[in-house]
Amino acid sequence: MRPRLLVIDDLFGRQSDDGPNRDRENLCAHFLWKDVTRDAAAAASSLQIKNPIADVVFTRGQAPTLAKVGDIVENDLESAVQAARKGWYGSEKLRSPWSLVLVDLSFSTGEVTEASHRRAPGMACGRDSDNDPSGYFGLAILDALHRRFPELPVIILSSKPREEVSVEFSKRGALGFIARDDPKGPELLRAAIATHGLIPDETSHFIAESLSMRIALRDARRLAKNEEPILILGERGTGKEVLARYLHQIRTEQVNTNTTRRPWVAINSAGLNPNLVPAELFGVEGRAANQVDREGIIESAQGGDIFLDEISDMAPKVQGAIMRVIETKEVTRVGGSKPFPVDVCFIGATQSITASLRPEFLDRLRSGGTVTMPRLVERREDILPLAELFLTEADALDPSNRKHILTDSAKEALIHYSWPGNVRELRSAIYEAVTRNPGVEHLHPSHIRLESESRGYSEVRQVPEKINAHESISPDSEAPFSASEVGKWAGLLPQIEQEHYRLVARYLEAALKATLRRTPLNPEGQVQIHPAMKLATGTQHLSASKAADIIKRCLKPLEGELSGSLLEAYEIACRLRPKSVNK
Amino acid sequence: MTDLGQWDRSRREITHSWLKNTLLLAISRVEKQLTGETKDDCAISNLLHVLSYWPEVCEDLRALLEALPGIQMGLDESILSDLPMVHTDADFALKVTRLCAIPESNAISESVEVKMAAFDLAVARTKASLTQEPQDSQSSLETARLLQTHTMQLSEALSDLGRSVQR
Repeated sequence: MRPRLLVIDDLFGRQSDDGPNRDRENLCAHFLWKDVTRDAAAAASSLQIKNPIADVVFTRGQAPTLAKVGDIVENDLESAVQAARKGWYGSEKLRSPWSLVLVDLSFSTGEVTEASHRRAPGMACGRDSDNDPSGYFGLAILDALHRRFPELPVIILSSKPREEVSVEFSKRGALGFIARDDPKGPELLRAAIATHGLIPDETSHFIAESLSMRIALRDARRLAKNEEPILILGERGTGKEVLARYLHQIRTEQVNTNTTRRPWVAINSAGLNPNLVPAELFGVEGRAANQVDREGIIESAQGGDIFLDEISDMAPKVQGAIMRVIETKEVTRVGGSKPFPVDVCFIGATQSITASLRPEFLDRLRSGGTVTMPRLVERREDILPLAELFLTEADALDPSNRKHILTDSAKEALIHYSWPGNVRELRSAIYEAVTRNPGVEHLHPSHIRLESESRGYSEVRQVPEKINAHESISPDSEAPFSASEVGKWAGLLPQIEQEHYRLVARYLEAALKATLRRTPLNPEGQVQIHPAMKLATGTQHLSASKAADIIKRCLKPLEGELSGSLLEAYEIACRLRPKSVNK
Repeated sequence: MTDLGQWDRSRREITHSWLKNTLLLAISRVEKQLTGETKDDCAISNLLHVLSYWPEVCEDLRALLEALPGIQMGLDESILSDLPMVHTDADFALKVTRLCAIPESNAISESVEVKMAAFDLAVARTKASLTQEPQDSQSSLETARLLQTHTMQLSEALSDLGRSVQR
């Protein structure tokens, strides 16, 4: 699947009623893009790109999109935001979300004159204010996109001088600037997509339809560019080792692999015996004539990657030994007298940062950065594609069996389950359902065992018993109406309702605050909507999807005024339940 | 054209709208067609259409350059009137720096004229190459790339001119 880009630009997004937009065709040919905009300009184009690097949708960000001589063209921020929203997570009927958005800086406004129309049909003649760098409309678009879709990667694509806006564009959340007239633009864009784009996995390691998984993969691609140690954080079953292999493959592709094989060594940290570690890790140099030299694990990974799984189970002595190798980049064999250099990349993985990890070891192991693997409940869009994949795999184990199909109710059950064991639990559940039901074709919820307790999982998150509501809520003192004003209440129902939603929102805010997940990496705390809603409703058996639905229902009326943890919670809920109908 | 705002609008129109947003991309489109990266029946006719505006753009450019002394004179007067009386070494240094900037834009203006002449030649060669029958793809590609170089040089010279006047 190709990356999907959105371009917000007056010149290339405009439409005319006399055939294709030639400027847009020029741009598509320059960058090797396939124009997939559903408009007349794209339909009229005969340009064919042989190997497009991306599918691109254009939007003008102005009204009217199709302007004629005499029309007045004005910037339309809401239409630009709507275009972004249509292809972003949380929107209805989303087929393929934006990998990257490209925004122009200066948009021409004003009247479409004979002269401006002759040069570029439908273009406005422009006003002086359009070219004032401090008032570029593109910067206003950046602001709006960054505020409403903080994870949406945006890059400036303009023919204006970069230095005019270099401070402003980064302050407003753009990740880079590509000069439209730069002959190296296509290569720069390819690099930008690889570094910043939220794209599916091309190496087939992962199914990544969800935003959270695409962010994790994007982070991994960024970190794999250098050879520094990387730490992977993630609950059990989230795929930490698969991500480590993904990092290894990216690094392998970065070097010339035709002649050199990049070694990969995976180590279970708990299995490293502190007393045997020197010989195991560093190797042995035979002292006597009948003794042979033995290569250590680190040496065997020379020029490649070493994956240290579950480092929190690693003995402190072993941590110290590995720390020295990371620092000095050399090892000395047992019995040897001289150290020799080693060129290996360490990738560590752990479920959490525990007290058993020496801080100095941890610092070195994450000196190249940290990637956090999302839990399966945080990547709902991936559940069904993963389930289908596991179903195909499980069916392939015994070709004599009938092929299994998930019924709609089974799919619903899978989506709404909390998956404490993450992808591994999903895989086990599907394999088990297939193995136990060889004679049925249609798998219903009853065929799939979803009770986490029966599999030995338990909820580990601690939820406080009650919310400190007094701290955040004082409705009496802040109610906008007093008893003496009852007579004036007629017609104020919408206002009262809005105040009611605000009150509920403050209650939710208190619940979110009480359930923030704080980690050493994130001392401020991460918003968790599921525990927060369990606390707020007093229902321990509330499903994650139900929690998301409630949040959507309560906060939707306040959509435009949300900020902080409430905005974050609302966006998480919209991502988790993009299609749910609020009842 | 004695108003700086109007003068700069015309300069930007040529630099951004025509040279950067239209011509450079149209050349790139032809390049992609000639290298086989696209199948595009309109690439060459599109570039020839864009180049057909060159005489008009050239006239606008000449008008810009002709108006430059008047713009410059107005600027010089305002620069001189803005300068402080020389009381200290710092005032003197400022005055010298500002005055030195004036002849610099004249030099850039001459440079623009040189680049225009070279660009004009490249346009003629490109037109000839693209309309030649039978077409020689390799030769067309080389002339297109040459035109691309001259377009970028002219565009850069015009940006320099704009910066020198606004200094």
